[in-house]
Amino acid sequence: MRFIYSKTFIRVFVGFLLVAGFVIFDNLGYLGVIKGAFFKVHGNVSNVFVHGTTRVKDFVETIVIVKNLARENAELNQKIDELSFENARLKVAQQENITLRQALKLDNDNTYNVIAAEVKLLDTTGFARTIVINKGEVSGLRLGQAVVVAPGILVGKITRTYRDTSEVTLITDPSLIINGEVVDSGARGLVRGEHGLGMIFDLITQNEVIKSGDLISTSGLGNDFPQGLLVGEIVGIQSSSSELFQKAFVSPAAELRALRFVLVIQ
Amino acid sequence: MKYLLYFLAIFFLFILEAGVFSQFYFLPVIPPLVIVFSALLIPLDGRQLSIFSIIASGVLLDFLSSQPDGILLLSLVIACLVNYVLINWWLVRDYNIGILFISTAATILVYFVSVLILAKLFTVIGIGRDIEYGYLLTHGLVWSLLLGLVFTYPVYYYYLLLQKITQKNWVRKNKFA
Repeated sequence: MRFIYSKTFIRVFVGFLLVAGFVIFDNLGYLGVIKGAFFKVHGNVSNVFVHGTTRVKDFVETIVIVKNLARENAELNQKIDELSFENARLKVAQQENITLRQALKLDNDNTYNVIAAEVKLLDTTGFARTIVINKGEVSGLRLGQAVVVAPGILVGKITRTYRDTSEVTLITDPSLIINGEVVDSGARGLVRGEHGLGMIFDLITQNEVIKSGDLISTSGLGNDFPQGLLVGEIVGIQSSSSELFQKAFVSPAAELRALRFVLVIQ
Repeated sequence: MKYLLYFLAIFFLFILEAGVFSQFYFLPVIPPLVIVFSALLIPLDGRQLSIFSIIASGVLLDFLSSQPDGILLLSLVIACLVNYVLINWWLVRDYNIGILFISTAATILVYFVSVLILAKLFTVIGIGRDIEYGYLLTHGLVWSLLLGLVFTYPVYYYYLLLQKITQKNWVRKNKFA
């Protein structure tokens, strides 16, 4: 009997047809309702376990780090004093900025319309860095909208929407590219996720001065993200005079592994 | 009823991965419990339930993943097929505990390589997304393999518990008791 008439071949062929149908239906968006229901159930149940695990983890961590608490407390108090001074200085600068904008009749476009959303689950398959939030097309979410955590720290971008949920690609995913600039020096380049843990700030010209500790924000170029959203901090630099560009390693400003609530910029 | 219980068992493994292991930040990757469970079904369980469980696992993996749907399902099916051939045609028919670990290792290895190849294929035809192939092959695969082997025995006991719930005469079917 020929192989193509055998049960095995027919089963394998039907199997591949089902998979092809699955791929096509997903691309046409017909699986959105089923996916949305799965995300809701999975998200609600796994959040219960997340809360429980976090409590146990915090308890164990407290016991382990209790001896360092006094030192950390002193360091944090000093940091609070420094940040309070910086905050006061920035408030004065902000007031000057508003006054000058009014004098020059420039629009103040720093306020965003945002929609709050809860993080339901994250991609555990290990091939991408994405999360699913509990707001979708019904709430006005669209592809490409920036996702932040208060008070303006970039977390990712909406890359897929369903009726009641949306998929957000995090900034540590290599498929997401951000036009970034150094807050202090204005050096511009491209920020791209690396290994799902950090980011690379690449294509920085050699004449630009960058250093560890510099903050990176979105530059607004390309209209992919609003300008001024904090991306991360430079933790290392790779530069060679024989290369055209230098690159920096960036640590994300947001704690991407512990996201609970996010804001979507309209 | 048995199919529903198997589905709930797989769903619970997904919950464990997302709710418990994802909070252990020291782990380089999340242990692939669902892949290990699918791998162990090949030498341990009947054909129909195994096929149903593997397809259900693949579909749910596709739902969770941001990759185009179909990649993870197809990869898991291919990996389990290779595992089936490996166990039934090449390995000895006297069951021993080593077969569980070989089954897990083979499935994870083939699954990972299949995902990377299919992701590249889907990217070439324009419906995939960029992933770090080199890093996943050297780092992701190695750690998934290690953690999969570590969790093979716990998942095997989880399977035995499932058998207790679903079958009255589970002792006779347990080849490794």
